[in-house]
Amino acid sequence: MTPFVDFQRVSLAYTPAQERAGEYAVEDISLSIGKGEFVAIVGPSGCGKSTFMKLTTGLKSPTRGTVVVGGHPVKGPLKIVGMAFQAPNLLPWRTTLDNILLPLEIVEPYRSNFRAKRAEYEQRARALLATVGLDGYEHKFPWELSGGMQQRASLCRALIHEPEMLMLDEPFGALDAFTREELWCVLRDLWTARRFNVVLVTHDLREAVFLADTVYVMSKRPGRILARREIDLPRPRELETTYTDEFNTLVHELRTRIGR
Amino acid sequence: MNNKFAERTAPIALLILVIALWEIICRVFQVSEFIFPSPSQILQATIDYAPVIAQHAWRTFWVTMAGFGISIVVGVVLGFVIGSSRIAYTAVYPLMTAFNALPKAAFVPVLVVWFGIGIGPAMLTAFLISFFPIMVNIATGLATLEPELEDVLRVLGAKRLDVLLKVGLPRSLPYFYASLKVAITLAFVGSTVSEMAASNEGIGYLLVSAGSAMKMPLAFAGLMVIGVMAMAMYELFALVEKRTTAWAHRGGHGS
Repeated sequence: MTPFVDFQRVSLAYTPAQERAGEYAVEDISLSIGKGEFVAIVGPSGCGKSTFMKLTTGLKSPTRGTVVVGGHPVKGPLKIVGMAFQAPNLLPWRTTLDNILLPLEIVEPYRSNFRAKRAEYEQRARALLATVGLDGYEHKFPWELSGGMQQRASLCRALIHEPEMLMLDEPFGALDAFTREELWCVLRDLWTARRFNVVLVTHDLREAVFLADTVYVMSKRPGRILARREIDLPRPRELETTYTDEFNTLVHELRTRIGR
Repeated sequence: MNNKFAERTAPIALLILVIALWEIICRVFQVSEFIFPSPSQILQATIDYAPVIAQHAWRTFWVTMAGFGISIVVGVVLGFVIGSSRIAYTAVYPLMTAFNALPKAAFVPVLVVWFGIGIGPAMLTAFLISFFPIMVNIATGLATLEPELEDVLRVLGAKRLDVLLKVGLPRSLPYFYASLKVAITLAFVGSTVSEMAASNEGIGYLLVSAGSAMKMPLAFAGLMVIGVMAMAMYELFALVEKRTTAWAHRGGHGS
């Protein structure tokens, strides 16, 4: 089976000066992600997880090595990707609905027919909001939503153009523990229903084990891949799973790989 | 409810208090009107000279607004250029800061040589003194975009211009209105100063000629008129700001 995302010995230095000094943000990364696979990347802060995301989405080109996504070498920004970050970054002058429609105003092929098909797209956005439990909040402004709700809306914005891959950079990092677990389930359900690829960058090992098919552990700068662990817990996984011995053994094992 | 009422009436109450105190002091100490006219004498002068004051006030008003209009256009365009390009920002900003430090009154003689006595110098002084805050605020609004949000949009294939139009400009609108409120008061300063030195019409001219004729109540009436005009324009922009960028003033809207 040909992988959907394929990294071959990829290194990235942000500036030529850093390259000469051998200061790489990520170094010698090789990995393959299958179609529809849910991947989590864990590691200490500053380990180049965000750099990994920039490489995968084509926002940065590797200094050495090749990145192939969907059978094509990555040369520029990949429009088949949706992104969400720790900060929801919703635009305060737009309602929730308009925030979610923003990508459609930019990405082709939606952009050219956005005005003509607005009603249809609004319908799609409403349906998406309903699946994350935000129905009824379409016309609220972001500051009228709680942190968890804003993050749900941010997920919807990342998914509205039906991307093949979802890139999440510590999306639940700023939320309280209960809200975080709620959103794990939201993400799990979205992924189960649509089976897009997910790359989840996180500090939270429980989050990684609960959600992912495969967890990669990265080292401190320069970021290298220290370990790859397949999570063979049966699906569907419930929050109850996180209290089983099997689950905790996995979390513990990953923790020891990170070291320190 | 009571608090809100107090908040609304406080400026008016203070104004009345100051005027009353002023009047009392002038009467009790019998201050000569050539030195410091009392409010009632100023009011009398305002009524006596109403047609003259109105004529000069109108001149100052439209000249100021014309200069202010130029500074909005120039300020927004320059701010957009500076805010959207790092190189333009580093190139232009120090020059602009140096320029802004120059006293604009010093430009008036130069402007007179170029444009003669009349509306030219007044309009341009109003422009020169008021475009800077507008430019800086637009540039700041554009230059402080969240990098992550830019990533979200760039992955979708957004061009720099898309990001600026969809996110940058709306985001800098509150800054823009805040700068308008500052700039309009500065514009009145500019036009009046210029009229004092080089004009034969406008409130600035009225101030100088009333002063040299020892008509102090009239001079003070002119000052009052300037203050009222600037305050009225300030309030107008504050109102527009509240209407169009409610999202930036949370509490006040919706929630």
